[in-house]
Amino acid sequence: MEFRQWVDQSPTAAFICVDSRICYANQAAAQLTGYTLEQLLQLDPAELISPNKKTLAESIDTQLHEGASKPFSDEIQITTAQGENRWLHTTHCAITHENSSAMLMTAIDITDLKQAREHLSERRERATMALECAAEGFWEWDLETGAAEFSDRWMESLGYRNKAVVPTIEFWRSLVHPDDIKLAQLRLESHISGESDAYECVYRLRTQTGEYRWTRDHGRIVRRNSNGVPTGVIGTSTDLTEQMRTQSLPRQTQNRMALKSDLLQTLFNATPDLIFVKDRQSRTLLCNQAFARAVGKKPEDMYGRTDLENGWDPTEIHGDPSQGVRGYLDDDRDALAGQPTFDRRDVVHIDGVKRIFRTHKLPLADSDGQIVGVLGLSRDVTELEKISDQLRRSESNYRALVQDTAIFIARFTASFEVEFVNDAFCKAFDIKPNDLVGKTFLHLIADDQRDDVVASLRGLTPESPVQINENEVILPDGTRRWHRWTNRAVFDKKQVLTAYHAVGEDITHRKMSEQTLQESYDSLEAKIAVRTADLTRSNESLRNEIAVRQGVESSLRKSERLLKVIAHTIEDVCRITDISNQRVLFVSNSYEEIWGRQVDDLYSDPRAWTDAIIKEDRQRVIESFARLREGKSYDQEYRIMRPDGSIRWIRDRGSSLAPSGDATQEVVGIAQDVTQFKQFESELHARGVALAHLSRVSTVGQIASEVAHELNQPLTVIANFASGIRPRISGTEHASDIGKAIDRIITQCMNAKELTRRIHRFVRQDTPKREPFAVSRVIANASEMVLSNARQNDVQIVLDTSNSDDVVIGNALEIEHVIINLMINAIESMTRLVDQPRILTVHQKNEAEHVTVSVCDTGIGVGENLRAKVFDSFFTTKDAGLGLGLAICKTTIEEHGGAIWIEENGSGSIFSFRLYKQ
Amino acid sequence: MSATKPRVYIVDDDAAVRDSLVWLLGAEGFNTQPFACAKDFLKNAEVRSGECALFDVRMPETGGLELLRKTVKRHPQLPVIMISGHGDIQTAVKSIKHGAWDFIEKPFDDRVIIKAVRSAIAEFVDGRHSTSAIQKFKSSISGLTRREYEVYQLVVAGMTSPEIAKHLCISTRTVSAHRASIKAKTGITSVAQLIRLSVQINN
Repeated sequence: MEFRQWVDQSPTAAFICVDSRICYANQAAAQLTGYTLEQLLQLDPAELISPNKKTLAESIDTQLHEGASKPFSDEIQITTAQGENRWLHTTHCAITHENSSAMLMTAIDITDLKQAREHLSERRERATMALECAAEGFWEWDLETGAAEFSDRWMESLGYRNKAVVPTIEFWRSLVHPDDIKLAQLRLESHISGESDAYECVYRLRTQTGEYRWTRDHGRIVRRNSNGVPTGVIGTSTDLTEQMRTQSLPRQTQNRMALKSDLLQTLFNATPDLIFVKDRQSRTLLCNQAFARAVGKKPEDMYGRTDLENGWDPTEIHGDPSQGVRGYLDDDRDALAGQPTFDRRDVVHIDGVKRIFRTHKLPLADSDGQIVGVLGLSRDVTELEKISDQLRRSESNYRALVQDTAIFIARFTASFEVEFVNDAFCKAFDIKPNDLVGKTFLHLIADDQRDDVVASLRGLTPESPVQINENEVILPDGTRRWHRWTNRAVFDKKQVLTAYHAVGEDITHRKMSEQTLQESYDSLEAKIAVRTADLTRSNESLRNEIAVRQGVESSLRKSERLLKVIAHTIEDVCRITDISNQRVLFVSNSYEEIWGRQVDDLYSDPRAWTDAIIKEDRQRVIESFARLREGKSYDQEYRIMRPDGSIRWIRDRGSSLAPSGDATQEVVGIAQDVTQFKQFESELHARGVALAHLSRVSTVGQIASEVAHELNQPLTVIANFASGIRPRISGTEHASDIGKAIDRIITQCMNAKELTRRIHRFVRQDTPKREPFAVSRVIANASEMVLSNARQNDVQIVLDTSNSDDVVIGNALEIEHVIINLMINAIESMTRLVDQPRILTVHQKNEAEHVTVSVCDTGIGVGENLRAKVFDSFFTTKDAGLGLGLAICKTTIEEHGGAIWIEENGSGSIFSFRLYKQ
Repeated sequence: MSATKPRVYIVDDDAAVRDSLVWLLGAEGFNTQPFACAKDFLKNAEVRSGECALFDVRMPETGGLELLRKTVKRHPQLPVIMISGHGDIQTAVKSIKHGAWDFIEKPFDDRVIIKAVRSAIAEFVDGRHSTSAIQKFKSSISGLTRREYEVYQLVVAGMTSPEIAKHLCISTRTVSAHRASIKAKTGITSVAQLIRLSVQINN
């Protein structure tokens, strides 16, 4: 009675076929196939099978008619009345019915599962396989060497775990039942030759104790050599023994049981769905084998007991009424009230493994229509959820890669209409995606460069679809930034341009470093032997790098999978790591370029990442990676050593996708090769060092020179007074003796002068070159040198310069020195200010004959009594000052024929100097 | 000139140097007028012809070179002799180019400075050498050999002997020989004079 009701109401489609005709089908079967029940009963089951799967249908028939003794499961594809193709997981069982052969078939629609699986495997073949390996037995074959790997679970199910066996394909072959080896071989070969999309086979394997276990294999080619010949297959194995055993059971008892009951009982126990019946007191009356197996108990042990007594989690049973969370009992109550419940998601832990079930509950009525109990149907959707979760995660991972990266990503049509831009792009331009989508982006490019960009985009061809552009863009506030874009044209099969994928980054910083570096070389040339060779080398390596990157770009295979292309097009290395299992789930191809190592090697040994880091940096990075487990993100710079021994600087940023404490923690990381940037940085540093050295040398020189000058003053006085005596005593008594003495005095003065002269000459050996230079540029250089000092002291620098007609003759470096000196003094004068603006302004005034530069501060001022002394040698108000800075400034400016002076400006001081144009 | 003592203005911020110059030049029969700073001189000096000025290069506020520029503009008839504690040839060249009569390093031999003051007062006419002196210098320059002329040009450009040697790829001793020969042919003994004349024959 219950069986009939269940079969009619079951969501599992059920058919009984006799002599190639369907003699019974339930409502679900009609729904599944799209035919009415009447139509179904007229149908040859073979007609249901999709035309392209005829061979499979025939093989089922053959097996059923000839083998007849062995029930089995399979996956088949049917075409519904509406012409839709659907995948079914079927369980077939041959029985004898009224002396004729009958076939019993249950079918579950697995189209969604199939699709999800295909979708996923399309994106991440390896991840899918690895995932399945977690759920089922897993194996991997190397077709070239014959070597094989079998997961622990696989080995365990056959009793070979911890046994000394050499894992080879030959070992697997030796376990296959002699009757099945041919079939398995056939299926495998048809996949390898390309006839079938996957290798699938149901066969028997011999266990260590000599028994045979039914197994369903599902595998796929994952590796090919350069000629396209398959070299590796990965697959999963599902143990079907239990299922087979329950299906065999009815055949042993068929003589004792009435036909209908027998059939239904078989169906009841053979279905992979979980079925149970409860009475009005929620006591289990009946349950099928699948249910018992799923919860790890015998059916008889559960009868007559409530859920609580059967050991279910009380919180799941009662729910949490205060939070409105329903429990099992709430569903039972609704069903008993005549209200079916659908799609409840139950999470059940069985032997510590989390399983997810979807449960329907229906009221169970007796012949009088009285509700006597609850009929429950559950399906294990753990795998489906896992896959869809995985899929969702993978999508969110890619989304994270695309949206969270600092790299700009855009897609636009052949007519330059934007189809997609990521967050980074929008943020950089301070716009919303909708402001741009469907419109052109060309107005963002600087006017003078727009035509070039358009021309180079138009110039892309299917043979050469990638191009790199460096151009300036204009932000809404009018500022210009340098961008570098890698543009890829996408062509369809007819070679018609359909879209562009563009990946870009802001390189203003780098451009500026390049520019600054260039300028610094110019100014340093005057004093120091410039390392021209270094610059040439650095330029060359930049060119090489661009060339290599272009090579990598063009070698990227064309692919319709947008996200993957993007992930691989990005020059930075994107990677997704599961840190709980220490597995690398995804790494972009640029890893090979930057690390000089193979992507596959990283997949097989995730530690290769940290192993590449040089010893000095490694521990620090490992520690920061470890903090990911606490949900912390990291941002590290470190050096790696490539296999060729060269060093690269890497900036690596990453964060966890899941909240901390989650069992699976996936981390998205983006690693950037910043070697070039680091080189620029160290060049800049070297420039600073050179200037500092220069400053020291010239300071020592200035001290000696100052001392010499100060000595000359008294020498002059002595010589002059002595000389003045001579005419005054001529004709007197001792004139001759005194005259001799005066001559001695003067001679000694001249000797001393010669000495100071030599000192002066020595420190001034290299007469500085006098050349025309632009004052505004020197001011810019100087302010850059003091920028960090200003930042540390919270001083704001304002430049009021003009580069029109500001060329004077002199030594640019010496003048830069003077400006630096004045600026540092100005900064120091403001460090004691509290709650007052600290502003350093450099004014430049260009006049017909000269240029005047004023350095103004808002500091404490000098004070009137000290103002006259500030330019004196050895005068200082600083604790550690030598009192030479301003004296040297004065000397320098005067040697240039200019003048330097000080004025008061409210509270602060203004130091000004003037340089002449001729 | 013999009736009244010729006046010499002295501008130096160092009082001792100022006093010593007054003492020295006073003994040689000059009427000296000292000033402690440029401003004071520009404001109070009543310049007439037949006078001379001594400016220190290094002074606070307005430096010697600044003062020289202003003086040349305001009193073109006044010859100026620059005195400096820094024997810097670049400053010397610059001074002469800006119109100074001579450039003398501190400390100085009394004969050198007295000779310079005397020649400035006697020979300076409207900021120039007398025409005859320039003509004489021109013809003596044309008597230089090609190499001597090269050396002469580098000397008046402000280069020292070692620098000239390096520039022409010859030894310093050869340069010294050339310079001695130039001195003999032109009769000009000081570099400052040489520079001044070279500026003038080019004008």
